[in-house]
Amino acid sequence: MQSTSLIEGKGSASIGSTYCAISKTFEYEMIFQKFITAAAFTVLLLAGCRKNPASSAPHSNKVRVGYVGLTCEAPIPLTRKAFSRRRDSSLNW
Amino acid sequence: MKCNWATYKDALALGSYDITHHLVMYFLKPIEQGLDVRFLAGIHRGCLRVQAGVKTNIHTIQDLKGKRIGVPGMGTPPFVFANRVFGTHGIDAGKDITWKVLPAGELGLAIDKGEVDAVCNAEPIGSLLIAEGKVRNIADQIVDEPYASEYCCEVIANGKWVDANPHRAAAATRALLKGAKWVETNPKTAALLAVEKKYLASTPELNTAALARLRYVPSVRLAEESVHTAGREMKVAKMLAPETDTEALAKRAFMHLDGVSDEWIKSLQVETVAGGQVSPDEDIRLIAALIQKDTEDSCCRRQMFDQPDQEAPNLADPDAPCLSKTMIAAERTQ
Repeated sequence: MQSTSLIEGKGSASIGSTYCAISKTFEYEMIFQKFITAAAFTVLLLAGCRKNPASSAPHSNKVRVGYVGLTCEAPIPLTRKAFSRRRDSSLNW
Repeated sequence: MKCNWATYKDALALGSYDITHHLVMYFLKPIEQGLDVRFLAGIHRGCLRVQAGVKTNIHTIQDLKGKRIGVPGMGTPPFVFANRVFGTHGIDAGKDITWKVLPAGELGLAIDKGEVDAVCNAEPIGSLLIAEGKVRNIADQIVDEPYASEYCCEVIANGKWVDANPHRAAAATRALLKGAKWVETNPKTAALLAVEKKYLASTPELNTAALARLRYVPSVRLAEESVHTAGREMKVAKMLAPETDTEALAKRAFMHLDGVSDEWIKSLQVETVAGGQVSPDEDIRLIAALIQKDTEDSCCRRQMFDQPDQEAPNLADPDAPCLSKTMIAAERTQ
């Protein structure tokens, strides 16, 4: 839409100014495409963990503890068990 | 929150989860490059080793100059550890060593076949290779200084989250430190619990043997020193940029939280569970039992080597497909 109006509106303008207008329109489109690509990439990266959407805010009441499943991560299930016993739901695995 | 190994660092920095404990050497380079995460306290020491085949004449670090070393992946914690060791002993890891990337579960096989002279690995691989009589230790993080006095894994959290939630971060850190102290007191029970609750794809025997060798003695002061030491030596080993001020890097990477101190850790009492401990003799018997149970064609031998040193898909992800040895061999020949 923007591209059409720019060209039509400057019907009597020189080839140079029309070219500039088209270039600018392409720039906007490029920026938009880059934005979409960046947004899609970020979504994919964030999908690396099984995310709990209810606890994603920076000031959320829950703490999200990440783990991969390694031998040395033994304290993590223990901590969870201890918190479960206390019925404290502020830690979220 | 179960995560994939491949995106673990980025997921923490982007806020997919808030806190965990993980390898210092694995995160220092990304922090140097701007990753906003903070170390908060030390969890455990001693899981990385450099080992030489028993049939070789390699007995010291200097003997490794010009040799072929098997590694589970370039940039993995065992690789970084080996580079630090070489850097501080005047060996150029880029020129003087021939690196061969192999699946962690096949490092012993590569030693047997003479494809490599030495290997670097993480627990439980190191203990298994020793128990199988295939290797001797050349550098051992749980024995050799300065590594024996530093943490390989520390509590690490998203920087923005810590800044916004310092009290919650401190509570979560204390919970993890208490868990660490509990593991030190009751390693067998902790190992069984982790397997039983399906936190990892391992066996009770292997997990117990591996956990029993690690030292879960949490600390804050030593954890901060560990970040400084690792930074200095990674720079010597050319794994950090020559212009990097490692003291400033460590200062930026480590954060003190109110209520998380060595005094608090010392005052912490944990229960001792009857039968939850492992004697040194029992540790060896567990490893021996494990070796007897395993067979050469067991594709899940690799799946049991639950390592922090493999590329995804790997044993850190129990859902990953289990590759057979023939498939791996086919991949290598392509």
